Amino acid sequence: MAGEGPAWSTDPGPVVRPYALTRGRTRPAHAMRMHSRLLTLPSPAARQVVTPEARRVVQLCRGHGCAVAEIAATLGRPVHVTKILLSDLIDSNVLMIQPAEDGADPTDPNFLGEILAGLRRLPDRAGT
Amino acid sequence: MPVYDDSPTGQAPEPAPTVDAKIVIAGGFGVGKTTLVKSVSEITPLTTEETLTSAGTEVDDLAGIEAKTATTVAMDFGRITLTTPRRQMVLYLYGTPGQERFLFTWDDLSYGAIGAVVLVDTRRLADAFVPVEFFEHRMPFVVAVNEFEGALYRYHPEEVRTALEIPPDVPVRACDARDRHSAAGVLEHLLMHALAVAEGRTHRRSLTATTALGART
Repeated sequence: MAGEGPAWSTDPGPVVRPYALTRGRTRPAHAMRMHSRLLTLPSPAARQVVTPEARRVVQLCRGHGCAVAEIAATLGRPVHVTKILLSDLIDSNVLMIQPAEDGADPTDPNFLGEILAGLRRLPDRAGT
Repeated sequence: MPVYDDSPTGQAPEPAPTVDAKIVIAGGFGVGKTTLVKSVSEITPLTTEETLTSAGTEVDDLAGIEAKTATTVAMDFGRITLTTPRRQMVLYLYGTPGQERFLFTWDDLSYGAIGAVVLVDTRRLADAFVPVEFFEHRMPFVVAVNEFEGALYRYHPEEVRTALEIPPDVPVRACDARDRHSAAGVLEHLLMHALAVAEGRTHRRSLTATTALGART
């Protein structure tokens, strides 16, 4: 970030520049948020991805899936670039965006109560 | 860390989907946001970059200005997996970029969030005005006064409330962002407040005036 640290860097950054990775595209075809959760589909396509980024994504999104922000951080790519890559994988039937969950409304008392109970049940919070 | 080998052959996703929730940790630069996220997160806080021109929405047209994407904004986030009788929930903590000039990223960051924690360093109280003002009209928030090591009590939480003109129903409390217990307590406090707001037990007062109280900062 500007204003911090030395004005130079010895880190050359990723070898493949972000928008080379997206083949010049700057917009994802599928709308997703930073916290949208992606799931790997049980499709043959998921086993046939070739790029290192796509393989990593397929791994990350197995089972319970993974949020866009977390995928971006793991890949070390900007969120926006990541969204374009993920969008491609959705188009190739490798991933799907987890539909918004019922009962996950941030203003719903039941939902909030559930989170509060979960927080209080954290191992080192018990009995406090 | 994510489990890689729970479905080695790429089987169907789990039948009970994981439910996500999000909390935003805001505050001035260097106030301890990353520290707080680190204290409670089950993963080492990850840093995400967002490109400047994406400006927090999916609808921005970047065509023609690709060359201007060089500026990136770093954001931290952490995660807490909560197990409830019904399902698995994942609570994501997003630390906002500190500087005000990155305020444009806050909308995407805070979209769908259940609430926010505004961290305050009493040595730089004025840094808290922007986050307080931002969240006041958007979502439930609590103010956590981070007590730095060796720092004397400069202000009581109630003095911070007065100085920042925080509405009476918004909780203000002291915390130690480095301490997991204390940091988790702040989140718990936020949830209690959000719940009170959701149940209509408290109403966030609309902002009446934002006269600057910079004299003591």
